[in-house]
Amino acid sequence: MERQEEATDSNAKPPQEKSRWSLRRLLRHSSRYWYLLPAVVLVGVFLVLPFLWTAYWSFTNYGGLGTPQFAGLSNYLTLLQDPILFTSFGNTFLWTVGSLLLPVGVGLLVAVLTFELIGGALYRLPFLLPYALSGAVVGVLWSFVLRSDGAFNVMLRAMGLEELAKSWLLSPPWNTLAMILAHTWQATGVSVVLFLVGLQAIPRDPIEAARIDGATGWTLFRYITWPLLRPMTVVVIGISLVNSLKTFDVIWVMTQGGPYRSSETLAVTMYRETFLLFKYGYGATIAVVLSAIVILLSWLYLRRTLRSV
Amino acid sequence: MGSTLTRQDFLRVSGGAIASVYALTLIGCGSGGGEGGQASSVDLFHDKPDWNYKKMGELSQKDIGIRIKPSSYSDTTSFQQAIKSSLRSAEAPGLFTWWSGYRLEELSQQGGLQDLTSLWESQTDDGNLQAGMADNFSFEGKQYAVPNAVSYWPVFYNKRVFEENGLEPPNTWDELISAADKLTKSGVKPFYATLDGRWPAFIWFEELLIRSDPDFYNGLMQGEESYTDPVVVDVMKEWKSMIDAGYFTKLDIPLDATAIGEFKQGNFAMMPIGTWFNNGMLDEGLKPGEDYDLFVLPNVNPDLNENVVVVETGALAIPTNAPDVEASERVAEWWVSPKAASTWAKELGDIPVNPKAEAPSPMLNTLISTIHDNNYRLMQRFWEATLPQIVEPAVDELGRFMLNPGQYMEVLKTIEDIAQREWSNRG
Repeated sequence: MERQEEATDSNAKPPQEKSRWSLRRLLRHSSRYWYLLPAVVLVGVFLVLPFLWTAYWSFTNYGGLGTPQFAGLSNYLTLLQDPILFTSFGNTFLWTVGSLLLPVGVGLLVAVLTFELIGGALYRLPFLLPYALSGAVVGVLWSFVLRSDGAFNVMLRAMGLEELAKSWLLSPPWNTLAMILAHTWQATGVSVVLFLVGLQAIPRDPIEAARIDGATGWTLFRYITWPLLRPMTVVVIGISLVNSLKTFDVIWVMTQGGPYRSSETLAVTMYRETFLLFKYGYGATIAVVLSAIVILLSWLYLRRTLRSV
Repeated sequence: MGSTLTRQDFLRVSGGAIASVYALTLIGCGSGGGEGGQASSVDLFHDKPDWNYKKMGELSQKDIGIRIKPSSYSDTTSFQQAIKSSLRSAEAPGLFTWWSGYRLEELSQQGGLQDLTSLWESQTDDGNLQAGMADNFSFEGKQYAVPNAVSYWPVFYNKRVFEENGLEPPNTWDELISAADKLTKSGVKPFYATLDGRWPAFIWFEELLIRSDPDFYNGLMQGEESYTDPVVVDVMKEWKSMIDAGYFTKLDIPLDATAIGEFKQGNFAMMPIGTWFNNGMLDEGLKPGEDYDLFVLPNVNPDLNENVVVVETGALAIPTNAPDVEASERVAEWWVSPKAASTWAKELGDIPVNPKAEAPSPMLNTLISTIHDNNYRLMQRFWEATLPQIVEPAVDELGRFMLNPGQYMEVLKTIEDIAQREWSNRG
């Protein structure tokens, strides 16, 4: 009634009424955006902006000093023709497969086997402890173990397997495989924890029902537990996928991508071109390509799995 | 449903607005700008956390009334980033340490370094700097840094192992090889070699090459010679024969206390490395002159009539944007004076930058006398002597050679391709 009268009034009152109504609505609903603003600004300034800046550099010949000179797509063309690309991509692929099979697989195994076991927490401890270490520390530790006269070779010799002992970090492709092992030692912990959470979230009823029907062990796992674990599996695989593509610190500490660049992954190549050879433009190109791969794979994976969850 | 703004709406919005503004201000005022350099102190940026610049700061305060205030970066890469980005800005330090040679040239090319030619002239006239070292810090005939530290590259040898095998420091290459054979028979590895850290791959390359043809080496470093030249091929063949004879240790012994431990135990006998390594030896309780000593490698080429030794120099440079350039220059001048150089050499356990100053140990003084009295020609270390864009791939390829000695021709061809490309890119 109030509104109708005001609508027929010819002076500015109806517009004011309208705008005050929408202003109030705006203010009432905008408060949530104000609270979000610092986080958005932080992510924008420290993540999105630097990435856009890096993408800009990838089209230049920037060398770290002076002003960047525009170079068009020449960096991308150089990358396609760079012989290291094959090695780099190959190692990155090995890392991805290795990180998906080992930390995720072993993590799942450990979580499932120790889930309702008496003293299960004790069995999980050796897998969880390494996760507290930084990648660099893991690298230093395992470098020490994998040296020619390190613990691993000593163990092999003690087992009578002298001929298998070698300078692991100096022999491709064993160096990459050994580093994946070192990484697994550390990364399994997070998979165990996440899968444990996932297992705890599974409702008891389907499991009880299946047990009544006679399902045990592998059958129970395959048809009941595994599908119900799906949401958590998506998370674990997603995280492992992204982390494996990004791995740098373990590799840099253990081999610096060597010997003779044999254990370089895309992340290591990017670091080397930028910080050792001062080819910021080219390094930025690799960064953009790597980011594109990560985003693409993550999107493909999530799109496929989330649809069916 | 009134049409006025309720108090709740207002509070909700303003609360959010105030919170966000507060948060953003906190982000914004993180790093306050520092004060500009005062005439009584200069900042010195470096990347060697265990070098005692603080002590030098106290000494400079006493001697010239200007205190050196060191800031160290524990990671070389972030140090390089920080220097490069600060060089042209208001954040530039009063002094900073850097590599000499081509790695310094890059900074001076961008016009970020103070011209110190007149300082070099006056100090060389006073005998505080060696004229022969000026090239290491020169670009287009002008000097852009003073020596921060100087190291020679002798061979550290285990005296006990030598005595047990009846060996003396060799005077000819043949003597060295027969010593190596004798040691191999006794079960001791003659030489240490490593790929730890990637960079050590050039050590034996440069040692063998400068002792074959030092003029060629200098030409190669300047891009005037080829890596596939027969001189280099012969070097690689000699090196390969040494590898095949089993003269070298396994290549993954880290170049730190681990290597010293192996040296101490007598697992290997000889180690070509910079005199800066001496500190590590002392830290591990080895006694110079008793447990170990130094000699300079003899020439590979018996027809070579001059003595050569690798010299490694570090640079101390002043940005043109330093807060107080005059104060920085006074510190640089003081740095190369006999007393400061002596003190610094004592701190580092290494060679003083001033040729008139005393080295901190009899062993090092003997080395210096040997080098001066026998007119050793100072050869710039590979790492600084040629373009970094060649050095980095070269050490990777030399590493490939050390693991696969049979591939020496491919290795040389690869390095030559890269060298040609980089020299032509320079224009």
